[in-house]
Amino acid sequence: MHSKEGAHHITPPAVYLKTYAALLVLMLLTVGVAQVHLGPLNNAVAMGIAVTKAVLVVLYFMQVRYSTRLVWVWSAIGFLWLLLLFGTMQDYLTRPWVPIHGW
Amino acid sequence: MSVEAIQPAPQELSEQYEDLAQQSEAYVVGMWAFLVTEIMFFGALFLAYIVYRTAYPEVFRDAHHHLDVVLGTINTTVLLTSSLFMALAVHAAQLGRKKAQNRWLFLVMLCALTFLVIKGIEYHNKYVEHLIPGSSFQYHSVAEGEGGQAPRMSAETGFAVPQSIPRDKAQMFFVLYFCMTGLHGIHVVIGLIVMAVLAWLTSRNSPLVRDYMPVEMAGLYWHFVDIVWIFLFPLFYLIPK
Repeated sequence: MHSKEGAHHITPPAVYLKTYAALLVLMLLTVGVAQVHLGPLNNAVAMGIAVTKAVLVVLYFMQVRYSTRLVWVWSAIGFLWLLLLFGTMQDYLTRPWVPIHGW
Repeated sequence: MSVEAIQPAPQELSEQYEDLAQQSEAYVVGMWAFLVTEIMFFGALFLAYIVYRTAYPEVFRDAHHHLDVVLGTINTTVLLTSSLFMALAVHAAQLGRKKAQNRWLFLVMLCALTFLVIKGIEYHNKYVEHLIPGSSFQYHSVAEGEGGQAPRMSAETGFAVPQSIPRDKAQMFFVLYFCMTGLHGIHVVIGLIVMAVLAWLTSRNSPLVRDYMPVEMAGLYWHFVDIVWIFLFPLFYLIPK
């Protein structure tokens, strides 16, 4: 379960610099795409880029990629729980399907 | 780079742990457990945002024109840069280079301050434009008047979109904007304090920061603050046409 040789992983600075470059490119991309009209795809692209950036930060800046399984579980569980919370949107989205007086 | 990077700074083992690996894991898991509560804390606000944006998409589209995309983009860059500096501060700490660690921490604090100043300028602009929610809130649609801008055309019909944006619904956009960026701003201030304390303790050679893990934990917190902004930025500043 523990990382190899019991030693703490030390990420080389080059990995941080590459991550940073990728984050900047993705930021410029999301600003650029917002100026183009893609309809509903705009939101999907913007959120896709945001999620990609978040994953890059979690994996490399927060070093989860080089961490133990237990850390993997803890770093994922918050976001999974968040998805569950967002699941309540199904109520807001489907309510107009069956109009009930007074809602 | 790679040869010198192999030797990490020595750590002390507290008696309740089997070995250093277990001790480090306890640090990281504990911090992540805290971050999970933070994710849920912000998550509720993000859900509120989704509910209102789904209910009033045209209001949100109109209201977001009052935000300055250029300042928003600059602030995103500043925060991403601060995250890089933070990662490098943690790297220096892991190698036991206290001086370099404090130099990076200082740069992170500088970025955090820049972020707060720019945010302050933005808040001030909203104040001048009467866009702070409350009794003095006044809303004017951006597309309507200002500088003889042509009204936007609807993609479906080709006609001008009617620009009667209800004041209360527009106010809701700014309630969410101030709550979410404000809560994020508070987190930036807390991060600033944490880093200042860490740098101060390190410069005094305090036994509290003999281990590099406290700096690494501050790093995890700071990267989390960065992640929140990564989502706030497109949601508020980049609502598509």
